[in-house]
Amino acid sequence: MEQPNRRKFLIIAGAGAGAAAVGVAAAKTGIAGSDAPAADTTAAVPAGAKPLVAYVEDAGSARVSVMTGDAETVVHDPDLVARLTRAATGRTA
Amino acid sequence: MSSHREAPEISKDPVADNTDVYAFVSPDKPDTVTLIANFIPLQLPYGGPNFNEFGDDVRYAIHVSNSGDARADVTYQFRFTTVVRNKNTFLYNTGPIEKISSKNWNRPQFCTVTRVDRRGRSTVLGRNLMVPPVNVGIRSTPRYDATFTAAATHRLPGGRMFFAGERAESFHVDLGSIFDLGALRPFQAAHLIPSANAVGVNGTQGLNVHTIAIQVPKTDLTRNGTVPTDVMDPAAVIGVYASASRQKSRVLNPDTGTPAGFGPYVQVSRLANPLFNEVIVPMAAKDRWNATDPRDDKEFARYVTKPELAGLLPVLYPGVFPKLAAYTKPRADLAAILLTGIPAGVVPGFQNFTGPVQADLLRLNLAIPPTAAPKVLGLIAGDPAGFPNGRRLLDDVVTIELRAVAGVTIPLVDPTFTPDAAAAAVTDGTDNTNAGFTDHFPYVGAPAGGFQTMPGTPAA
Repeated sequence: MEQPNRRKFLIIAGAGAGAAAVGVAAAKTGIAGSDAPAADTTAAVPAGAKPLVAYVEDAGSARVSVMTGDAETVVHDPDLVARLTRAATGRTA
Repeated sequence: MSSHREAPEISKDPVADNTDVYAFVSPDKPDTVTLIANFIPLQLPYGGPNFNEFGDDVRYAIHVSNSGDARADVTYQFRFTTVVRNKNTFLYNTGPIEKISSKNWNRPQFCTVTRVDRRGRSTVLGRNLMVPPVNVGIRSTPRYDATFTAAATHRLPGGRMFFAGERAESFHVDLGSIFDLGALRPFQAAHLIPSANAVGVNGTQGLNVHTIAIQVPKTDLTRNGTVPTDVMDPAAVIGVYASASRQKSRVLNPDTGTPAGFGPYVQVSRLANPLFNEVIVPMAAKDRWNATDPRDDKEFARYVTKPELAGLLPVLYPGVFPKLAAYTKPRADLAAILLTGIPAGVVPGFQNFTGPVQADLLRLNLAIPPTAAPKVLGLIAGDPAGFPNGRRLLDDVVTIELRAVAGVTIPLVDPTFTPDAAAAAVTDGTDNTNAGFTDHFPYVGAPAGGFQTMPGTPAA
């Protein structure tokens, strides 16, 4: 079995309240571009937020690819990756 | 073939599978160029009730490079939108579709055509352009060609023409024999596992494809916006390829049973020269080849200069290709034909060289006029208006490429080589047995009808 930090995760906004909030927060911070600073985890979900996909190919890299519409933003956010990783295993804390 | 189901991944995604690309100076309008890209391979005409159609979630494109670096200078993008008129029936049509605007057609499709230049500037050339229904049969789509072909041929600004829809397969090949260990029925008595010689069988007979065709003035494509008249002028040559792209992420919605796309479009299929990915690129690299751009084809050049098929022919046909078997130099002839174009000085009075960048592009010299007496073997038969100078619908690219791989084009770059006698005779023995080509845009024959077409004959 692969180690958790090598797994690939897909988190789909709307699939669960926790996942959606995390994903939209990532998209918001992603406006700053690649390797943007970590997200403010308490940020409110912006009005008009669209469905998105967050993709972590390598949890060890701390990089999250956020895709919405026909755009893709890559953020460098160890905390977000950690929370996504935990969420993927059913742990939200 | 020529790029039907040619790679493992795209073979599972037929809607995005680019099967053939054609580029030729329009025979009836020689101041224009016709670009054709076919998709969705091996369509049975009677494939209802959900007949074949373009993908609303696929971005189709035909690219033209005119500045020698193999990058797209002009791109025509094609996006489709499908409408379901009556959501309470399973029927494709609820009565005869007697004209393209008939409300009996339950699933019309529309296209938006956009021209994108090298700097990414987009110009929409047409919106909501109707795609014809498929040829269901005599009751559903009566008098198909007369009813729908002209109605679905759209005039676009700037003297351009556009058509997208189901058409007859133009490409012919003996699929059944070639993929049975390289058998060529006319020569199979000489095969390593011999059987009696026979006539070729066109494996695409009775099958349709989905065609995207656009006809544009030459001035739309050349680097300086002029109409080339000098064959030897480097600016007279364009490189063409087509592609299909899908969004990077796809999520299936369990509530609707339909997918949603997220992220940028990534290329999943491309095509220029017929058979390039099919028989030159090894299986393990085919998917990657489909995902890359032609300008990066240097990494695949080794498969061109030492083609696997050239090594197989002497093995599969013992004693037939001894000179080919003994030829150990890199195949500079194939590299020129497929990767750079043929430079000046190789074929007298001809060139379609686009520069040293190695890229699989269909290269067309726009200064060469169409001929009233085309030869299906194109340039190797002395007809410079045909493949590998662009590609016409009638060009017998299987035979041309078989003979080239077998060595007939080696003397162009290596006069010390004399090809085997068989090299100039080898063929799969097929001809086009589908609807004939027309003498005007979109040139591709009308599709076989579902009712009219009989299934094939199984044998074991």
